[in-house]
Amino acid sequence: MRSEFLSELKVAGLGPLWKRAPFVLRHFPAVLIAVLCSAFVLGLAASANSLFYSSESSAVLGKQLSGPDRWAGGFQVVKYGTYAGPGAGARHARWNNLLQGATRGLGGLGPLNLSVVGLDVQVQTPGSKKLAFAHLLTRSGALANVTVLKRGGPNGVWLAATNASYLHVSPGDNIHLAVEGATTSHHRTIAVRVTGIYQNLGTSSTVPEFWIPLQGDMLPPSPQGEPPPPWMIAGPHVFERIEKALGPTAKWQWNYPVRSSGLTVPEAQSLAGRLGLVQARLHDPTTELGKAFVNANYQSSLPDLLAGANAIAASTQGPIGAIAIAGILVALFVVAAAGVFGVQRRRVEIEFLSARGVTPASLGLRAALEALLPVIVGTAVGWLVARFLVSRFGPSAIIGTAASQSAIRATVICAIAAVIVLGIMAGAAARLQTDLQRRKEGTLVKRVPWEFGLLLLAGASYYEINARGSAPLVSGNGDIHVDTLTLLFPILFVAGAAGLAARLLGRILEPLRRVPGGRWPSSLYFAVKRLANAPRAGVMLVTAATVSIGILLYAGTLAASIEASSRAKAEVFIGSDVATPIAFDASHHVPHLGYPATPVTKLESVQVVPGDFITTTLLGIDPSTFASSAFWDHSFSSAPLDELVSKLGSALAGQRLPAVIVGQGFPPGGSLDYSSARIPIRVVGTARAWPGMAVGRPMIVTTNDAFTAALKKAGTPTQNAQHELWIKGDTAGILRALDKSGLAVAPVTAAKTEALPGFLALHWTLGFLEALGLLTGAIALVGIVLYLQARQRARQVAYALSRRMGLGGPQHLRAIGLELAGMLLPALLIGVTLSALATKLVYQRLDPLPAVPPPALLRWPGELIAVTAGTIVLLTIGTAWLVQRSADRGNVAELMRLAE
Amino acid sequence: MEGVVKVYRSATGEVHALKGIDISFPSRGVTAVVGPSGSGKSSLLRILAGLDEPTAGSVHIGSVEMSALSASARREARRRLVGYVFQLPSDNLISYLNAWEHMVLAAKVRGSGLGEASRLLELLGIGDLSWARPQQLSGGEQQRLAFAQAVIGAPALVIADEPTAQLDGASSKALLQAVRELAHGGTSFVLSTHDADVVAAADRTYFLRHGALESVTAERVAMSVIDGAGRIQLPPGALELFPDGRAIVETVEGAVMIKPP
Repeated sequence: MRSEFLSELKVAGLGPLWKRAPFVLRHFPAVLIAVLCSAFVLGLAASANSLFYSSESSAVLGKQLSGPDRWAGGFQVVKYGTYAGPGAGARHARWNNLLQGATRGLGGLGPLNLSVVGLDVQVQTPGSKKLAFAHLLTRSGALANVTVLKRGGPNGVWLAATNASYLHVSPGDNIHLAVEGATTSHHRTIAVRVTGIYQNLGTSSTVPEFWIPLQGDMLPPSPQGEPPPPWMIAGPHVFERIEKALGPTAKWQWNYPVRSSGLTVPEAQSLAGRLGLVQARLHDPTTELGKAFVNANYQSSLPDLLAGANAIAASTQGPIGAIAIAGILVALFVVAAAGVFGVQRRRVEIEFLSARGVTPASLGLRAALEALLPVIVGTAVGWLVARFLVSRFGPSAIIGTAASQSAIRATVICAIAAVIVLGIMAGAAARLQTDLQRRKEGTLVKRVPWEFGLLLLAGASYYEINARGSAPLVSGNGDIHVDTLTLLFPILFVAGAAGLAARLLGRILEPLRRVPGGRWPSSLYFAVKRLANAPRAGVMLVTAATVSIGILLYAGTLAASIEASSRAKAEVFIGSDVATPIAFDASHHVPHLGYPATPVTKLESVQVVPGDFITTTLLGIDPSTFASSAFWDHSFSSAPLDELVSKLGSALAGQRLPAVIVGQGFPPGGSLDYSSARIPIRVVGTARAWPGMAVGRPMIVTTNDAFTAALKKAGTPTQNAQHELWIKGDTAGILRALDKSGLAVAPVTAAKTEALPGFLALHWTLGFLEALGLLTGAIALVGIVLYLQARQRARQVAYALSRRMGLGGPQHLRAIGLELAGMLLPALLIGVTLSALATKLVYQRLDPLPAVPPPALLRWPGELIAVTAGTIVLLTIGTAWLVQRSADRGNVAELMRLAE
Repeated sequence: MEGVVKVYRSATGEVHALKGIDISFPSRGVTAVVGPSGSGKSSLLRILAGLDEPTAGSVHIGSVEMSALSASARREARRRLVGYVFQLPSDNLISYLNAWEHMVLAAKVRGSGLGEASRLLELLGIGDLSWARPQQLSGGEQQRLAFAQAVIGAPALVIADEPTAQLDGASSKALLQAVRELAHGGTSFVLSTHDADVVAAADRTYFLRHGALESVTAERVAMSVIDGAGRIQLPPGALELFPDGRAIVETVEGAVMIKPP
């Protein structure tokens, strides 16, 4: 065989067939389109993994380096010293120069920001006994990053609005500054002019980005703590004058944020390495830098953030890799199908050459050579489009160069594999084409029930998922990702079951070949006959369409379900959409925010007696606002929330505290043991879960009033109680309202919890699976077009014949529509059914946080199903119209001659 | 061909396309194979060309027993020994090659020189159309080009399946003239046909019916064929004399008389 093949090559030499091979497919547009499309899909699938992983890593890193972490991920050097004094100016300049030199050329860092934080000073106006406190600061760009309220002359200080208002000073006034706590014997004061007044920064719920490096000096240490004094901002000269007068101690803080345009993971790795070298030089007292910055503190959280980002991204690599491999296999299958399609379209040529003694191997090799350029073009375009899609719709627009190169390598390897597969399949198809006996016996695909193999693998996957005993949402190092088998199971299950269903459908339709259908409408008759006589390609297309719909809907359902579950769990943990600590007992003074809000009081670590010292949380609620403001899911209790709250509200205060018991372990007739007081409980209801409850800790819910009264009665101090306001509604709007109210300093939002990188990685993984569904959908679409194109001549002849028999254009159009609908609608129905079945089997095991109620929720993606169904209807109508248009344009005389 | 049987198996049962054909073709000259549709002409030609295998029996081309060869050896033998011309002129040509490229391809496949290719094009009257693609040639020209390709390298056998079916009368005559000239070169031509002109141009004609050889006509003498089991097929006209399917056979003075009972 080998020698025969070689001798043939020798004989053929560079004959016209071989010379023309690279460009010959331009004479066969349908085959060219098939090869281009399949290579395009392959290019997409081959490059998607690397590109998506890079994009995801960048996105996770971007999340890690957003907000305060942009500064933490950068580089910070802190040094204490004297600001004023002999040689101070030269010393400061040297520090700046040395640090600038050390960090020069470190790609990925933003511009240097230097802050010098001075003393806490007492502020007084002349002749007044009122005393305010301020924190001295000089910082370049500071005034550009505050809201200026009033402005006066130069060479003075800028006061915060609260200080100015308290002291009744305006720009141009003089004030006296003294060191806080200065004794009379060491009284040092200085008079300075007020240059301007700015809006306080510390009351905002979110510190403006510019001020984040200094937020430790701006926010209270705890919600109940006293806020630190506001900044008194001065220029360097005024700052130096004050420092000279009051005491020269100052804190220099050099901050380099990471670049705002975002970093790829390799760039961040490179930056972390270089920053490590700078830190090593700072640490080394023999270097000039080390000498200058002796006793300085320096830090960069970049390595930790990078490790976290890598861990999160790596947790999804397995599942995404598995999906990508599935995509590549599907694409290679399509490439192989394109090879077979090419042989079928060029049947005459193949038979002609075969009759001349040309071997199938030679024909396959030539097919591979013919496909080479289209495969290169198709995969290259696939790579480009994958890059565009990932950067446009993926987790992040930032894709590393290494990832792009890796994607190119994968694409090239897959392109080579595609050419080989196409050649082999074309050769095999040519052999089958020219071997009458084999053709009559049917192909392997037709004979072997491959669907059972897939179903067997799906069953094994499902068994493994269950037998393993761990949740398919694996939490490793706190990261959440989908187990690979959970993704492979539906693909195998849907593909196997879809193939079986399509085969069964073919069997059901088979008897219809012989049904006369005398009373049927002619369009229905034509459609049924065509479907019943459809070649294997028709059955394969139904399978492909079903698989694509099934995978798409499975991924969509899981994404919607996990999103709903994680959102619900976040809201249970927080209590509502937003929870903000309140620094005082605001139970009866809730400001109007424009959103439903309810005040709650929490007392942690209350023990239950008698029993084994069960620790519980005591929650006080406002019955009038709780039900409308807190998160609730019907699975929390058999009784509705309104009823439970109403029972609490209407319970008469007595010796016992009326309460709803949440969770298990509360003994009958139990009491609370708190701060040496014993508070007996009267149970008015029970629940499995409650908003605001901590994981694994039971909760006792009562009303705020009953709570306060009980503690008072027991003579117990309430200073350990935490007061929170739970607010329901649009998170962004609530945050704006909180900012305006000046109420909150650090609200927690469910949306923020849900947007944690770990959760996002989960969503991205499922998004990738949805993309695979769309990809297979696109393949099925191309397949349908090629199927119709391949049968176009036969269809034109049939149409010409049917016109002779009096069938009109509209009837023929309806027949085509029914034929297409007969393939696509079963695909939709089977796809929806199979995806629903697959989801039902696994969704309860896809709980992002199993310990947190409620249990995993199931959400059907109604919109996605509607869009899919709508697309199928549009596709059916549009394609039928195009086919009819093409049939109308056929030359009837020529067609009739061919038919005869 | 000796005792060639071809049985096709299908979902509806077996189809006996050839029922033990014993037939030989002269090493030069033109042989026509005629018969109604379904008589087994195409099966016979495909087996003869080595495109298909007989269910039983043997096929020899010269000293090569085609039916005993492996698929690859049969392919090699086909390349060397057999030229095949399909019924539709367009089926013998590749749409994107011009006439000259077809000849180059055929010459390379058979290991022949390009000088012969040029000579054959001239011989078949299409020498000045070497630049033309198939769609630029008439049906007759296409079929002549097909024959030129088939005979290049002087194969032992050229088989053509109804070569004039798609041609007009003039084109048919021109083609048959060309075939006769090519046959003088030593190649044996076997043409299946319904065309009386082809039959007239042939040196010998085989009639097939129901998968069996009914008669052979050589040098204007038509002879019925008696197979190895002594069976003979009556011509359709004579068959009407025996509506019961029974006959009395008598040997009379060196002849056989068949008459209704």
